[in-house]
Amino acid sequence: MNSIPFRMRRMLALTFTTLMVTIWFLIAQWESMRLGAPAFFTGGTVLACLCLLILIGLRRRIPVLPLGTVSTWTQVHLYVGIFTTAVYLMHVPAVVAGGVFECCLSLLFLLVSVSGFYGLYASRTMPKRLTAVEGQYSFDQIGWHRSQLANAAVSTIEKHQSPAGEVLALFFKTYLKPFFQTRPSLAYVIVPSGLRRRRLLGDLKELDRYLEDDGRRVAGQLAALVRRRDDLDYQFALQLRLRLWLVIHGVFSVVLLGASVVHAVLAIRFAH
Amino acid sequence: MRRDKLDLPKNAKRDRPKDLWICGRTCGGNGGGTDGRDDVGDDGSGAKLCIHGPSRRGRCPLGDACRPKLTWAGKKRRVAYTVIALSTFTLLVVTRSSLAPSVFKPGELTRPHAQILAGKLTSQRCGACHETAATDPLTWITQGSGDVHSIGQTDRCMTCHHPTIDREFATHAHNLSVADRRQRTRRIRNASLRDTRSSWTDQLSATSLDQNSVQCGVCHREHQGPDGDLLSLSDSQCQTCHSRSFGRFATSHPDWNNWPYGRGGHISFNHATHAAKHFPATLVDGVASEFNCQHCHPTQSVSGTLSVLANSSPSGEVVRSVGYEAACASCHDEALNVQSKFGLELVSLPILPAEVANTIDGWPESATGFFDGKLSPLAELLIRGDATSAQAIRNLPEADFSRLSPQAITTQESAALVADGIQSLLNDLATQGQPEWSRRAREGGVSATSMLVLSRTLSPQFIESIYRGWFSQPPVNRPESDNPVRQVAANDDDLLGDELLGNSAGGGLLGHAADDELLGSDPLQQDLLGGGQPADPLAIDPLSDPLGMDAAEPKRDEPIAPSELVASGGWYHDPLRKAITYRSGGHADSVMIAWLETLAQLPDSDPVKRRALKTPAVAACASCHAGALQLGGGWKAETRFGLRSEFTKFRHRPHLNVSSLGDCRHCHQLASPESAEYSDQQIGSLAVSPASTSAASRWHSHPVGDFLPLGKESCAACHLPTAAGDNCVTCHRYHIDLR
Repeated sequence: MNSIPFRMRRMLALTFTTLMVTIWFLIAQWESMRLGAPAFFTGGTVLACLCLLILIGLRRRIPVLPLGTVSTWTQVHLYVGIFTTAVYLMHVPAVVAGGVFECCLSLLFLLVSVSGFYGLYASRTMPKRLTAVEGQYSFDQIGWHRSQLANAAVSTIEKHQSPAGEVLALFFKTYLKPFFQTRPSLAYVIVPSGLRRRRLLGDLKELDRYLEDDGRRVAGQLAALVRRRDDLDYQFALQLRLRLWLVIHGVFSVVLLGASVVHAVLAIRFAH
Repeated sequence: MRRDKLDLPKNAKRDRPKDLWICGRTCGGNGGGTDGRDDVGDDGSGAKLCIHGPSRRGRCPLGDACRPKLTWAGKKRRVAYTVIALSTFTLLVVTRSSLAPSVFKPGELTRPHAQILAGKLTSQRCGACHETAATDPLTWITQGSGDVHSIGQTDRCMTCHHPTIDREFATHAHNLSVADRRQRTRRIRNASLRDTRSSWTDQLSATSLDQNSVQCGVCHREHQGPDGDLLSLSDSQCQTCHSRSFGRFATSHPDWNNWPYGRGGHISFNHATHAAKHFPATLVDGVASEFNCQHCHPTQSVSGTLSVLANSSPSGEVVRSVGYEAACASCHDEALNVQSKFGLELVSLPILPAEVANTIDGWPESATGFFDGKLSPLAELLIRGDATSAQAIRNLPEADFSRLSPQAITTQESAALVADGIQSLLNDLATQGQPEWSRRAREGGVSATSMLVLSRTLSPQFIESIYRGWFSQPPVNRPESDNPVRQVAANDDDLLGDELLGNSAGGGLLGHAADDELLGSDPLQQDLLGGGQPADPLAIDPLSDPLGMDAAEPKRDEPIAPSELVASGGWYHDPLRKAITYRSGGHADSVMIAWLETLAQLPDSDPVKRRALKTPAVAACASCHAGALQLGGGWKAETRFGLRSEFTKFRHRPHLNVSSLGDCRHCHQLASPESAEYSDQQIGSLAVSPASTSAASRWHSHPVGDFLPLGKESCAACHLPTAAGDNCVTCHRYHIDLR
């Protein structure tokens, strides 16, 4: 598979997926026309595909067995997911089914599907954004690094003792201390931007006229700490987004599979 | 990128992606082994450090020195377990609770079903349709989904829908038996002008269903919400069972020829001649009458003058026909009254030659002379049960005494027998009353019930008084007739024959003259008191002429004709003709209705029926109510709306909402009067010429040429997919009920 160029591979896979979706649609229509039970056909397909999609989680946890590379599994997972979503729309043309249980089931499926498509997007864009920022931080250690930066900022300002340093100390106390000692806001986590970074750096720059050389040096150090902290927060936001997506997608896919099995049993039970 | 030079410590902790816990102390350093323990180090200032981090259970090797924290992996695992456990618990709780049906139902029921089940417990509502809902899930699993004898869902549907769907054929295609479907298929194929063989596309889309086991749920999908359409079916689904399928209605549906005409009816009416000839010729105040369709076919919401005889229709639907009083009386009542003046004759004494009259005891002198007179159809019907009388009647050409040949040997004997039969008839009706009517009706070949109306309106005392007047003697209560019981066929064959039952000459099992000796003579004819009869104290009416004025009473004017004495209808005695006759009361006379319903029981070749149809009153009835002369026919124009025995359904109401269709003639175009008259004559002649072999033509409510054919293009102009719709179910019915 690695010998096939990426674009060609993608084209082939999409074409094959589209072809299968078309075939399934025609079969479902044919069944419907013949007064058959297309719901069983499409529903069974969706359930089987869900089982197949879940298996990637097992594959990732069992690396010792010769089951193919995770990369291949991921590709299969991706296109089977697209196929499953299309078959789901054949199964539930209204997108969200009626009834309490089946409505919840539909919403579960949509949540998992949408998160899957988001994951496809995120896995293509997040790495570039993460590597664009300096530093590599383990997610679990970000808190430690955050505290280190706060300590460094405090020690930097404490070392600077001069009449003119009161300006800087006041600025630190008012703006920088909350910045260093608190976690990033929810708004920043959801939509990380350079707004607050530019604001703080700009304000620091504005203080230059009031500072002597020593003060300017300290201001420079504080500015560096601000930049480092902002980079850290940016890493935190993006990593959190990736990890949250994975939790949602993984956990609710298990719940979805269980509920789908219950739905299948009910459908078979009450079909006659 | 600007690289800031910051001197920040590095975290030496060796945490792995799968670690569930991480050290809670914000410290760094490499650490080394102290106190002989590999997991405890030193940060250089003497403070102890853990090297490998907390254990998998979250315990720190330094004891209380540090409180480990959950890693992201640890948090993720906890969240996952919690969510899964919560979901499973919720599912189990709901499954075992009373909320289960409302939670697990796949959608709301359609409004009609929801209303029916609104009052029941939720737990029972599912079970009303789903057999498995009544069983415990564990039982369902262990016992399977039910055996062949279990009540299926279709059976549960029939619990409510059996009035409109025959249970026996509920799962058959179109609710018709196999034989019925095959017959219809053959008929359609024979009549089709097109190739009826299946194409490969038809075979590809052919259903896999067994057409004798089509469950309700195959087509009717519930739980689509209150406004869901249970009747929603695509054309391809409708046609999947058919060997030939069609595409769009306008281009592919086969054309029809006579529909909606030629489907039979009970009233004969020629629209074309009435519109073109009769109505224009009828002047009211010098103005020709308008032939207005809505005068006879109003919509129920419009007409406020529907008579009680009119058929009821769902609100807004076109009435098949209003009653006689509203539709026909204004033109036909006068003529009908004239025609029905001479309605129905019970008997009229024929005129017999003296040598024949003398053989009959009491035969009136005024009825003696040359052979003349006719035997009325009713009298023939009541007499022919007697074998000898029946034979004698056969010797009468067209039951007309005037056509007897005096020279023939059997003439006198036959005439005498018939005359005797008439006398016996009157005698028996006068003395026996209604039971005699019933007996003679059965022996004549009709049911006794149909004669009840006649017998109720004609009292035995009335007949007795006439009998006395004619024969100058009272009727006598004769012993049970010696004549054996016969079953009379249309051609008057004696089905039982003479050998078994004997004949009037003796022999046989029943008819033996010697039996009379056992019964003796009629005790009522004897003078029980002896010594002759005393004078009848009531013989003279003391009030008849107390003042002796009769002699001086002035002569009356010319006597009123007996028929005028019953101008509103009734039986009367015509002394001049020696006849007991019924004068019809006009339209819908009950006696005439009963008489025609009696005639309907006879085959068309029956001489009684043939002659009865020639009488003016009967002919007047039959000219419009030809259908009433056949078994299974009726008098009224029954509405076809809602008939479940036809594959095609049609309602006028939605079409009348379209302004251009408000004029009936937009679709129902009258044919030319000339072509319609020709057909009219053919139909009219059927009433008197029962030689027609076409039973279908006899049933036409109006001639086939009455209207121009209603072509498919009339419907296809509006019934397009983007307009009025052209789905199969728009015009065709699936469930056929022949009950």
